[in-house]
Amino acid sequence: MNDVLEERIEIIEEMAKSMGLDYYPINYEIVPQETMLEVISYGLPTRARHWSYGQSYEYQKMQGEMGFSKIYEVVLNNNPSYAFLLDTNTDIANTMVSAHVIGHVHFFKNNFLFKKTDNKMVYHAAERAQRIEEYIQKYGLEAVERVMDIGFSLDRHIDWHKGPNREPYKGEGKYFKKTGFDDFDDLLSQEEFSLKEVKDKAGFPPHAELDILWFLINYSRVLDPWEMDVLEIIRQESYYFYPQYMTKIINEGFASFIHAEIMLKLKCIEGPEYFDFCRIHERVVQPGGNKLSINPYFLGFSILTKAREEWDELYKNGDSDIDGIQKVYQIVNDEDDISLIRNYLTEDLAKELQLFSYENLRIPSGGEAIHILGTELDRVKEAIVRDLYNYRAPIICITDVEDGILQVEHQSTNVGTLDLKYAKVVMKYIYEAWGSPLNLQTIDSEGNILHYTYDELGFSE
Amino acid sequence: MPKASKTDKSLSDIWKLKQRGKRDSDRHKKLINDAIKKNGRDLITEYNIITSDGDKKIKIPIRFLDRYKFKYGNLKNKSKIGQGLDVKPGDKFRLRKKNEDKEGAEPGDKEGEVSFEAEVSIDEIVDILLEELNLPWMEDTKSSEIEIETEDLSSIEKRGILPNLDLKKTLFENLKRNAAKGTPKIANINENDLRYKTWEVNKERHSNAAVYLMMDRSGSMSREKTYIAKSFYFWMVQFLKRRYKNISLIFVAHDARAWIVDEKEFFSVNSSGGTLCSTPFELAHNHIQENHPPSTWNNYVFEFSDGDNWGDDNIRALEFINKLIPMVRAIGYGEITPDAEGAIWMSDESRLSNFLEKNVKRTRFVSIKITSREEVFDALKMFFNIDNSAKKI
Repeated sequence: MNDVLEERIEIIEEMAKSMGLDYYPINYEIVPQETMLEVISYGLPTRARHWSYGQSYEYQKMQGEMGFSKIYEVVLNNNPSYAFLLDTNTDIANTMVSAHVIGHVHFFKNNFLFKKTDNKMVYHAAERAQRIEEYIQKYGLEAVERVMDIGFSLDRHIDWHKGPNREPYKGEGKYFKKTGFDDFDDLLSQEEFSLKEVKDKAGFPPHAELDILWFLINYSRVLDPWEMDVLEIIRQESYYFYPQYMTKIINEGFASFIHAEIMLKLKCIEGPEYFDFCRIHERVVQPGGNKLSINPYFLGFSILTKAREEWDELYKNGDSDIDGIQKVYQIVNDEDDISLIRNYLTEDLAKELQLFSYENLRIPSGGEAIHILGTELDRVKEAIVRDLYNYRAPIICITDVEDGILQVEHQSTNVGTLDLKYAKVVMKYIYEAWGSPLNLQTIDSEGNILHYTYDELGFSE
Repeated sequence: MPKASKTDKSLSDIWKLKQRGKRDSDRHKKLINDAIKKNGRDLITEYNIITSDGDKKIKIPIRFLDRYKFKYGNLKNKSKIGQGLDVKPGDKFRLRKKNEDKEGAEPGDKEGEVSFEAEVSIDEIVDILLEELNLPWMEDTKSSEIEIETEDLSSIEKRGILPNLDLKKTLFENLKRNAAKGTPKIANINENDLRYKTWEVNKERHSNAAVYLMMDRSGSMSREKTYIAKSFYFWMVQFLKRRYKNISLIFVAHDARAWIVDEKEFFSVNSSGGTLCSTPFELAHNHIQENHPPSTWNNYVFEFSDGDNWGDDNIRALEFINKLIPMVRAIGYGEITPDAEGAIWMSDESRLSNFLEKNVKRTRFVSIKITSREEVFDALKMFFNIDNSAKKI
């Protein structure tokens, strides 16, 4: 890192603290584009290898080469935090990025969702990657990849409220023993009453289970300890990433808010450099050329800026105990994207930004069109938050185990149908990990209930 | 750095990820190649490929390399969010083409998730699927003209990608370096020791070759039949161009008469008219006589037809084939008879293939029947590996 930047970061950190920002120590690393792409594609650069990161890496590289996206920084949620800055950025760009990074790290330390994440994840991921490396040595790359494929196919199905570290269900140990569930292979030769007892003793799992990997790790009879470990590693990482998925708008918005705040106060920046800053800042927090999507940086930045103005006004008139910036900190502590949009996107702002909801249309004569659905606040909010739930995944639960057969239910049928092509493969994965057949209940487009089965003969409807 | 100095080590030290992205993308690439190999039979008649112009990269869906998750199919609420337009409910806007490929505007029903398509070039597919193919019975003729490119893992370099690391050479270099310091043992391997195998293109000189690609385009050639013939020829052209530089390709279309067309026309001709299968062989015969004397040229003649020919003309075709045989390295005849489209009124006897098989008794005449798209791949392998398989026997 050059002296200019180093000096500036020192000034910025001082300023950040005087503004009341509270964040983990940050290690800044200046890296070449290539490393940056690696960090981006892995999400956590220390985690275990998998071909899919190679796929993202290729994708990122292509995006970069085609000039679609310029990555200014990556910052890892960890204590201490690691921030990667691009070596080809100008000093002024990296100055701004450093200020931006502080916003993110404050967010990591204070946001209610992030408080539940493992802030030593970078090191834990490295240890886990080491274990996976050993499994690869021992069991072969393909066997390990297979288990990882299974893990990744289910990693969005977590139960955030129960959290990553859970106790097994109470009392279900007896459940298995009583019914001879252990000797599943002998089920056919079991006494009739024993089978009945399984059915009568309804309530396993005791509630619809959202955390599918957790269930498989704890209750499957066919997984080896190392396979459970691999699945658990992926599951832990999923909990780690979940808050990032849920806070894209607010986190980027806040980081942009902070870098603007700091940069405007930074006295050492003047003349042409100041114009450069304005240019980059504009680029980050502009609506974006594409009218058919929103730039999360811009939306988050606009909402927070608006909230600040409003609360400064309230504070001035004695209607609030806290001023604008304190309000922004409070929002950042308490909200995720969904609640930010619900609570702080105002009618005025939606008008100002000319937000609208639309749907795609196919023109019979060929080509594409859009149909404007509305500009009312509720409609607009709904269109924004629609994609933000549950890692964008359908809600799938394990509802029951009957005679060893896993009953799986697609519960968010009010949102849409399942993509069957994908569901088939995931069912196969579950079958492999569970070791016995499974049924999946879902609906078709007309709302009729459908049942699919995956067993030793494969998929059937 | 203020504060940060508590944990002094840089993250790069912790993860030591040197070229991790590269390693995993090599792995990804390998899985794609495996997928291509595994799906070769279907891939080879993939419509999008056959209709591409052969130069550009094509996207092929590699399904099981997708990252499978439960995801939504049809969404009930398909509304999306846009910004920066002064619009009213009910307004409709036509999208310009440009927006379609880009973000946000993908059509309708499905969730806006990127499903994985491998981007590979035709050449890559040729290398993966058709690596062992060649023109059979090629001989050195007087004027050596064409070059063939083969790749060998031959030289050892200091730079390279990890999968190509030459362990033996690397250990040897390390030993050498330590020995120079007075401690002849293998220890402390560092970057200076690494040695990689690299690919080197060897140019071999080969003889002239002229290949005649002839195709029935008469009315009886249904869309499916034509498609099968075109698939075959498409890959044949790709692999010939890939393997042999300066090869001469002559495209011939025929119905009741035969004429030379250029490559583009050849792949876009429509079917109509009657059939006289002797005509392309006659044309090839005359063309070779005038332009490609067998003393200096390796000549190859291929014809694809549905075999729905006139009895008299079968005899005439036989005549020209017999005349051609001494002038060429090989004649290939492919007959396309999709099961579903069986011409019941035609006795098997009168089929050109049966007639020729019965009457041409030369090893260098190869006839093959193709009944479905799935067989194109095998037909290619059969035609262009014939001398090797013969050698094996």
